Amino acid sequence: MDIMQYLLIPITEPMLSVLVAIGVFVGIYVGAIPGLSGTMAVSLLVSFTFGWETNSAISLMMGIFSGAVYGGSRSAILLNIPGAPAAVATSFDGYPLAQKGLAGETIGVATISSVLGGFLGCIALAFLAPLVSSIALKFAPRDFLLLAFMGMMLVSSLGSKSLARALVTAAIGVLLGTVGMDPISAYPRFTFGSTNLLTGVDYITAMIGLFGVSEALMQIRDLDIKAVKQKIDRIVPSFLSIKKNFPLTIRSSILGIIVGALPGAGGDIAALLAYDQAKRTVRHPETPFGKGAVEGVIAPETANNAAIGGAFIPMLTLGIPGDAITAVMIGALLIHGLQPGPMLMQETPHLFYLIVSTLAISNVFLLIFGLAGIKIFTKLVEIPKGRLLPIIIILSVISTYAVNNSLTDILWMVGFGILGYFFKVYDYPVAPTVLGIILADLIENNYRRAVISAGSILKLVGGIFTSPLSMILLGIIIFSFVTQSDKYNKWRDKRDAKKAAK
Amino acid sequence: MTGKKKIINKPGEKGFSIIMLVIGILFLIESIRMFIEEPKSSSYGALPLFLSCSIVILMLKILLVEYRNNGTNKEKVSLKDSIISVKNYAFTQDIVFEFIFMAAYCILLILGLGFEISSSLFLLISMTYLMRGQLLKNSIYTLITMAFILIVFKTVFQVILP
Repeated sequence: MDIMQYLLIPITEPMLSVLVAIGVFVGIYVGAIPGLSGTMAVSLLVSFTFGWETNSAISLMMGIFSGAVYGGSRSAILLNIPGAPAAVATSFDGYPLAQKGLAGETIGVATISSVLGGFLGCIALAFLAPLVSSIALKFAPRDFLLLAFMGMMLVSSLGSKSLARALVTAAIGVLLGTVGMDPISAYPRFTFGSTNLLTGVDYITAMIGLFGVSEALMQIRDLDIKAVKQKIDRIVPSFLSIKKNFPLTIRSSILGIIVGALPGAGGDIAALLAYDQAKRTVRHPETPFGKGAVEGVIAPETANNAAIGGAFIPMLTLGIPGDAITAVMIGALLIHGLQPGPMLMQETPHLFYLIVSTLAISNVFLLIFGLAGIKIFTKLVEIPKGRLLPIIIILSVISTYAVNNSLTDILWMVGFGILGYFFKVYDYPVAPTVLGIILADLIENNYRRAVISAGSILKLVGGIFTSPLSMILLGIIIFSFVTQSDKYNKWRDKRDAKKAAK
Repeated sequence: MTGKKKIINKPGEKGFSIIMLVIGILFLIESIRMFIEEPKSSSYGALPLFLSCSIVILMLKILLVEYRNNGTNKEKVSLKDSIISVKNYAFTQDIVFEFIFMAAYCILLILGLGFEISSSLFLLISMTYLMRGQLLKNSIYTLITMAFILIVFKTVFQVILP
């Protein structure tokens, strides 16, 4: 009975629902504007809402969170610039679909998928929180290390000329993540005597440069190529199409919830894994993946919104953030005198259920705002590139500076933009670099913990074969490596050629 | 019937790979130096050493593949033609100018000219160059953009601008 009362708080206090609606609306546009991120918006809100009542602050933040994760898909589809890391995978097929003049329907599909994924994530948060968090508790440092490698291997499989190129960019990313003062020994690594490098490379700066500025530069390089005028005839996808792809939606949601619940792995990894999963499981897509497969939009969009519910599970039950935004939200709860962790559900159960209900309500508003206003939004792509691209660079500068108020970060961002441009020109994927920078801490901390607890590298490797969980993760890494190797691809091409000849 | 796919290197591809290899080697040298200071598998130099080693090995593999691709290409190209093709491929006139505009924008920000003036200049010059003229229209776009940025970011979101 109490639970129902808690769940209905946003209904009994309509102002909370209004705040969720405002949050979703703002979040969609924050997420959609390349370079602006939900993390940035929520972190700004932490200081704005300092003096607010806790429920109001949480309602607004939940709305922004949902809206921003979804909003990233819009610029990914319309401009091929993921507005947020969670929308990287959406651009692989979303943009080719928009180029075919199917922008409206693609955004419609992304909206429906996001809402379905969001609701399923919400249900999981409400019912599976204790179960999933108990599984995450069993993860040893070795498993986190394997998990990070698994994420990198799977990301490497996306849109690259060769596995070697993808692994190089992933390694560069992790290496850049180690720049600065070592957190354990305080040893300055790769700083070359510069104090500016002591704080390390900010992943938001890298992300804005590698995704935002490099894409703007690529489009300036191909300025003469005329943009396809986006047709917005149909927005709501057909019921048959939703029904046909429902199993994929369910699979992607489950994956999104599980990945979201793993600390450190948020919507970005969930979306990329879901895309990879769709590529492997959808046998006969109407259009090949990477060239405009609708399944390539459904899977990541479902997973990244499902991951929101998942990300709250370890945050609320263990006090460990599931992703960057939940990390910021821990700060918000602390400011309001609340301590996320096992006691939170015991002492303030209303807060847990408020998060569940505002997440559910945010998905209702996501459906409304997601399906409305697309025509206005698509006008963005009709602005001549010569005018739009300098604006994107300016927005990238603003959002980079907003993170640390540092002019040095702007130089880093421009540097990453130029590096990303050359990566793209010569077919090196940029996504593994960004992921590498984000996961660098996770990889290094768990590697060092695992080596220290095992005693040596050999014992660490041997230990993998004593744990079923580690063996499963290792199996996925090996499978991913083998299926991406040149030899496997040659063998598969030969097999397909033989089949075609019969 | 599946003939062997003929892969041709892009102009400047090998040069870029060599630059990446050199960067990898520089990181490797620095990593070795760090590892020697504390030669333990859990030291601060262990992961960088593994990563930079991997970069160097993988770049050598990539270069080997590119060298083989080049070997299959029988046509000899002069150095002058190579430079021209790299310029046309990766350093187009628009890109070179945009690099210059971005560099100038950063310098103006660092010199303390202020966000409003530096950004307006960057927007106006970049737009006018990329649109091949239309100064008046671009001035209006610059004004609207700057007004939007100042209202939304500075006033509503209270973002601190450079």
